[in-house]
Amino acid sequence: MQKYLKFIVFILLIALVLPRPVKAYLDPGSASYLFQLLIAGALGALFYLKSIIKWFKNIFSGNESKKSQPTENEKE
Amino acid sequence: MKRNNLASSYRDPSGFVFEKDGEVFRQINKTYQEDYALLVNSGLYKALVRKGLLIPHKEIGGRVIKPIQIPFISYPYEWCFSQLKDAALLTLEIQKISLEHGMSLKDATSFNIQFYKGKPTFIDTLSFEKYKKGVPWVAYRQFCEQFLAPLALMVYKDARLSQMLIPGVGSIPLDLTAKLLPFAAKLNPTLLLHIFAQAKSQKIRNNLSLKNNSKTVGMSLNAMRELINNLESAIKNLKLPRENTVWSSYYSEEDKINNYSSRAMKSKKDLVKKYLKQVKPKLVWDAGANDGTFSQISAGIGAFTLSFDNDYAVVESNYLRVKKNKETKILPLFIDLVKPSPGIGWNLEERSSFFDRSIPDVILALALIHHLAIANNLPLVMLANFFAEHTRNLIIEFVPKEDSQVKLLLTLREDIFPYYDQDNFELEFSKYFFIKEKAKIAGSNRVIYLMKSKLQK
Repeated sequence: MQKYLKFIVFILLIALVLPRPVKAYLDPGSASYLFQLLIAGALGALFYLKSIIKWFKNIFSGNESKKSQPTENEKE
Repeated sequence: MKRNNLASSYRDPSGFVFEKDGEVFRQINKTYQEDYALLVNSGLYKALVRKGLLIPHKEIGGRVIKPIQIPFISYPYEWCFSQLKDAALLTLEIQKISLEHGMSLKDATSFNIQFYKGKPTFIDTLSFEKYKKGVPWVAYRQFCEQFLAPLALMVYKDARLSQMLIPGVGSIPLDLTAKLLPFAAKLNPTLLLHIFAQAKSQKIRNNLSLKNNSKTVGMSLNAMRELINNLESAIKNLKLPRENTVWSSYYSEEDKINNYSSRAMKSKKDLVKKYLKQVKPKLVWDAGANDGTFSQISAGIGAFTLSFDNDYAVVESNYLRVKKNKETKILPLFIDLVKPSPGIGWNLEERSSFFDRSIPDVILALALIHHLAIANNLPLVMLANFFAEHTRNLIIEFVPKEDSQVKLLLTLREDIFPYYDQDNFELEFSKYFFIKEKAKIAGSNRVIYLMKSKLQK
């Protein structure tokens, strides 16, 4: 799982160092808000990926009761 | 009766905390009523209280709630690493359960956590708001500044860096944390993301309008859950390197640096217990508590005991024992009696000083006087005045100059303490205390006193 995360962080850092126009009155808290939006897609994908891995693990371990987990996790 | 609004809740628009007749209440403002109703009706309040994660309360009418009273309010800069780590994990667990109930924490300050019956417990009942689809976790940065940053600094640099939470009033800025952490911390992917990348993102001025951006992009609930899981694994993976200090082996059998034979130790324990039983205290401060050996005696007779020391390692081991044994009446804290936590924050009142938070029935000052008088150059009369101001009763051990521990303190320095002897000790302390009892510790040259303050009722 860590290699996916490292890849995400790598992409993220590239995105962050790219020059952007400035908006001087943005406070640091808002920046963290935007930061979450920036990483949201990757986090969502990671969550989905983990759910699939868990689902496969459950199939191979014969745990029938948890087979439906990925669809449950997708519910919002 | 007088009603005092507490400075700690000035910033919260949802309500405020006030004190009346020595008890703490929480007023819920009209603006928060809807969220409070959701907290109760969604079953979140019940779920959290059932698991022992949130402090229970009673509704007493007029939008006022009365929470279970916490015996002593402590602050994150007074906690050891494992206390702060457990408080961080509690916050994340609460956020996870809140999301399951359609709510979210609107702040993640470490001041929302208190140690109740030995366990971290969330005390801010008004910190929950309705979860809004697509909106990121508003408390994310605060969580990182108040928990992840100090814990990372403690692991990668030094545990005493928790003291940076004092000037920061509970927070350590992420850009400062990123500068202080060594390169090795960047190899930890979760710290790279939540500290280094987030700190970097704060420096970059973004031209995107926040409103427009949140409308178009958004953060799914699954992404939010993954954020919390990710923070949780970051916190869980932070482990303090094992360090030994002089004091962490003070009472251990194999490395006896103290002056007690088993006979003397038994005699000292018996005397302390006898004097404590005479006073029947509710609140005790065990100053220079070391591993909490004597705090256990005080807790054993039913007193809530602050077990504090200025040695980081012993506070950590004291807490780990309290946690392991599920001891409910001992609160280990990182406090140095000669430089205790000051009043900080707005008007220096937002977080009160250590001395402003309680007056104990008893201070245990065992094997402490020589450190204060000789290592810290504090005159006996000042020490007597100090203790008399801060406690109703004092159980104090006098350690004479002939004691090997005092000799050790004087080995490498000039003896500028001609008045440090038992007669002068009694003379100076009698100015501020009534000496009720005294007895020699069997098998040693030390003496234990029970005194009653002339300055406190």
